[in-house]
Amino acid sequence: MPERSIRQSQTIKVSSVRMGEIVVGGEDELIKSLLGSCIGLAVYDRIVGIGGLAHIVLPSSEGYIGPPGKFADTAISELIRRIEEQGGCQRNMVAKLAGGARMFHCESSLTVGERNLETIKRHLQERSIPVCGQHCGGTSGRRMVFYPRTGRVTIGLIGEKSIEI
Amino acid sequence: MEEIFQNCADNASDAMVRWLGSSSLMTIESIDQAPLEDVQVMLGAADEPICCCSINMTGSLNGWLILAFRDTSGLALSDLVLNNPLGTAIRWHELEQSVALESTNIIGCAFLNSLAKHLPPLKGQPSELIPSPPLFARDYAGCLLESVFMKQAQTANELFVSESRIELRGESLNWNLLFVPDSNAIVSLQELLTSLA
Repeated sequence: MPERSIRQSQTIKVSSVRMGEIVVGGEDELIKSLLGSCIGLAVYDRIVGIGGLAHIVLPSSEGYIGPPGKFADTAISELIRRIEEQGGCQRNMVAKLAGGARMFHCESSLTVGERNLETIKRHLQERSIPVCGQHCGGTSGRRMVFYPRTGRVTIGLIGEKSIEI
Repeated sequence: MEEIFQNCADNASDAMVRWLGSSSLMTIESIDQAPLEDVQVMLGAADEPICCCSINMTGSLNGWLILAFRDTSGLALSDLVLNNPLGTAIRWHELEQSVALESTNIIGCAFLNSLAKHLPPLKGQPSELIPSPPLFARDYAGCLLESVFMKQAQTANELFVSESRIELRGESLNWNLLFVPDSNAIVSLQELLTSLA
């Protein structure tokens, strides 16, 4: 299990999801992640109000060993498994996506970001999990904040007001 | 390895002295491996803004050379180069960005030229490291660092970085120079070490 960076702020538990990690939560929880070229995938069960956020680095494990949250192909099944473990049901799940920026105008990071996004969407479609919001691409980093109970996701770009997706 | 990188840092320091007309010192802070999940906090709080001037390195080794600094340190450099009183520059306009980019170009080229001299010849030809023109970015520290390490993350969960700290006139300016080779370059550096042993 990856370490979780948690602090108690009034009644809301705040968790940070770092590269390659997955965090699942429910009521009175807030899960956040900082995303450049990587993709933040939030999946939640609309009925029971439980969801999780994965900070996905690469589209496919391709034989490499790493934490399950690092690769799109392993992150999605692990995320679903953990949500179901806490009482969620796959047929009630929806997804929101953010990230995949081209931070240094570098061709290779663009390709990885795009491939990540394509792979994630394909895996979600195979599992009949609809994408109901996304904020991807561009050249800026994103601060993604996910409220698992409601499925609310806000995106902050530096120097700009946060928006909801 | 540390000796080689310190030599590169000394050459970069000399170039800084010539550029600024003022004493500067660059020291190798660490040559380390960081777990994937710790990379975003390498330079402090991940959700605070940071500036990065990045050079994409190609040739005998591929990877990134990054000069990273907070606003105050970067703007202080601009004042210094432009002979303005400290505190004159308060925002990143084109002029301030140009100063940061030119400084990165000077430091980066000196560092890479020095490193290339330590590399073994390739097919009888001297090794070379070709720097791209530097790019300026200001964003959340965590987002920038994540992108810098993407290439290495493709094949490793422990990421290699050499970190240097720069002092000017005996005072730390909190500029960090990160040398981030890609996974193939790490293998080449390991081979270099073996050949030197």
